[in-house]
Amino acid sequence: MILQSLNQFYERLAEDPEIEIAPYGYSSQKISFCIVINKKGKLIQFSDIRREAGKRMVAQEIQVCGGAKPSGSGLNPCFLWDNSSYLLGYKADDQKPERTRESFEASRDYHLGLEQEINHPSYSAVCNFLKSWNPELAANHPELAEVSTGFLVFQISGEEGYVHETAEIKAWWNQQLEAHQDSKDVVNAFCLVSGKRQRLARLHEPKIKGVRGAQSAGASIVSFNATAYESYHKEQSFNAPVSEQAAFQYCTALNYLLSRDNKRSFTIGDATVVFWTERASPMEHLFSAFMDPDLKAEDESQRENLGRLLKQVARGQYPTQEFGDPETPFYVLGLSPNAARISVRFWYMSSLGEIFAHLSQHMHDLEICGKPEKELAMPPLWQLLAETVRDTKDLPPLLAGSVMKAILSGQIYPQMLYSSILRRIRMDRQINYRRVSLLKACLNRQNRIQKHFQLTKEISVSLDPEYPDPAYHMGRLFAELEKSQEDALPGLNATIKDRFFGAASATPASVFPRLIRMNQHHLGKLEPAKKSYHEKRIQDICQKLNVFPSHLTLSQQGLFALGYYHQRQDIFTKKTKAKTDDNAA
Amino acid sequence: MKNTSIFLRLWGDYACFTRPEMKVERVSYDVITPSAARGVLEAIYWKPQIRWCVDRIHVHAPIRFMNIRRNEVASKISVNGPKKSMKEGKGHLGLYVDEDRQQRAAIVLRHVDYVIEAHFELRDQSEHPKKHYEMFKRRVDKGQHFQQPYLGCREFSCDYEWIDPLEIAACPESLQGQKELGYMLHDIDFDDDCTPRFFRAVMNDGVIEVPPFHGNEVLS
Repeated sequence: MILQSLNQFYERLAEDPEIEIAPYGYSSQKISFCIVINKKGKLIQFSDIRREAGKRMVAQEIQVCGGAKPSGSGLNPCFLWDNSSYLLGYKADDQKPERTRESFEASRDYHLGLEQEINHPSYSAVCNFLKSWNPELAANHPELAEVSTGFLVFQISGEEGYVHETAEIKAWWNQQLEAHQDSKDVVNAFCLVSGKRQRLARLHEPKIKGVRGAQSAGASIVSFNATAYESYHKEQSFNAPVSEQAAFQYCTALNYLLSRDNKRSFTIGDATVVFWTERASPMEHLFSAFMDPDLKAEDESQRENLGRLLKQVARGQYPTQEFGDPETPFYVLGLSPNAARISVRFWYMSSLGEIFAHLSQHMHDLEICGKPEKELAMPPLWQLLAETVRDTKDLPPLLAGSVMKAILSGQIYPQMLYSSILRRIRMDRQINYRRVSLLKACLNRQNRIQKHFQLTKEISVSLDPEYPDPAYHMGRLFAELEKSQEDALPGLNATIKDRFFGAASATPASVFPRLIRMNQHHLGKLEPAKKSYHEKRIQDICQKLNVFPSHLTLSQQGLFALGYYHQRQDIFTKKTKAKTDDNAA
Repeated sequence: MKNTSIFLRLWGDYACFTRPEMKVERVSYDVITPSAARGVLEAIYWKPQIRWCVDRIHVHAPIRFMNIRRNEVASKISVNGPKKSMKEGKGHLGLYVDEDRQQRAAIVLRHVDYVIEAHFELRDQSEHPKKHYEMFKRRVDKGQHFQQPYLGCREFSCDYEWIDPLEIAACPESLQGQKELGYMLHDIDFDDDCTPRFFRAVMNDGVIEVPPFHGNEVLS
């Protein structure tokens, strides 16, 4: 299904006049120089067609005939485009002049051999140029020194476009592609992507570039690069019959998505994620903004825009007018590198409406009081995941994928997310907004979906003094005990939170009696009005508690942290509380 | 339903019905393929006189995937090596796994539960079909098989039981409605140079109709 939907996506892109994507038999290459000749084939100049981008010069992406330049030691000239050793027999700092000369001759003979067949004046001009060009003269053109990285194309002076873009030459090339289909040494068979009988691909070209951590020259999703992968005496990709055209189309579509300029991919953990819809929809651009917004951008309006959209998501109302049919299929594909191959980390098919609903649910589950002002209503996934580890390097690759999947599918968050957050809290005793919102989301969602998992009551956004589970109130009590200590002994380096939070949340019976005893001393230091204020608050909470259990389960430990956080928020928002309550009512 | 139709329930914790195009870094099909189902039937009962044909696949558990990464090897021991060694009386037969490592990721299915509806064709018409039907049933009831049946990969063994067609439970809510599963491998045509044959799989309320192997709907 992955290849089929990518293939469909390619067809959609090909029909879109606003998007430039290479047709079958062509590819987009980085062209940096243009050889300008006159109609007789005499060199006019080498013109630099690179664009300036900041301090560097960037080659232009131009569609040329044929696929990527094959690597390796064989001589393989390209049609009307190539690097300087093939087209000019010249290479800056040449280590192997012999090879350069051979490649130039190969390219010249290849082009001259086709002259009669193509029979077009522009092509003949190129041939004349190649015939008369003396590679030794290249050194007279200092501008060529910079050509070493990019490729070159031809242009006839006074004509528009490049030689390989001439209609007649293109027509010949296309005809050549089809003629190829009938020759004997090709395998025609059923293609499992298109469902038609077509010429099968032995290797899937072009290679897929842009997956983080994979080989920079490109890697393959479909490849059979060791004998253990082959079956039934079939070789290479004949193990999986895919036509050359379908292979080209899905690879090109995937490269389009992965290309950084298109902003259609983001990384989560070790996976590079791409996404697309079956029909064009603004969601295609918004999704990465939701999952991985560019926070570095100082652009306030962009931030506001995102905030407005998130509000829309939070309300849960699907904007049909903007987004189109909610039934439109939506695909998410996570790829992770494995040397020369790419493996599928996750694959998720859904519809726009469903994704929207699940994102909305995710936001709803995360919602908790005390949101810092700068925080987005839906923190990007990587920020959430960063809370589970000390250093993002330690992030287990499987976790990111499964959290992502939980968000998209509306299923329960992985247990590991919950337990790692608790572990982090025990380790560094930071009970911050993101952590508690994740704890709340995990518990509430599990409670809603899993029948055998029962919270006594769904956890609310802010303090809930009537919550039935004692673990929650122990968390609250802990917050009050800490507050009275802070008031009694201001400026302490380590409060009871720093010393006892972990133990109190796991084994309350062994810690709380001691904390309460210490609290008596703290209260004693306070002036009477403050003392009675604290005593009253502590009394209120203690009414909910009969006994301190010897230990708390994992889910109770989460409730403990939430109770602590809620109470803490309550302490500091006390003064404005009455006001907000009125608003809420 | 033919009178020799059998219904066999299969279930297991893991399954991987590898897509041919994602065969190296394995990605499973959403459901069991007809050839994997045939493999299970043959593991329980197979005779040269019969040939199993899968007619329908009932899916009874929501489709769930998980990721695993395992250490495997890069090569197979070629047939020629041992042959040569036998002829010469010396040589090297082994394959050292720790020197030939390949780490491969896989997306496999979790907690699968299927009912396979199948029948067999007699290759020898003098045989009585009832005989094979009863033999198969007895073997299933006793839990006898020639080799442990498995779900796509040897390491994902499965349990099985005889099930009455009336007892087949309704499919879970998430599978209701129609779902296109794309082109799916039907089986390999071993008489025709091991050519794979594909069909367009559509799941209707958890049931996939499998067209006959040599029918028009199966393409190669």
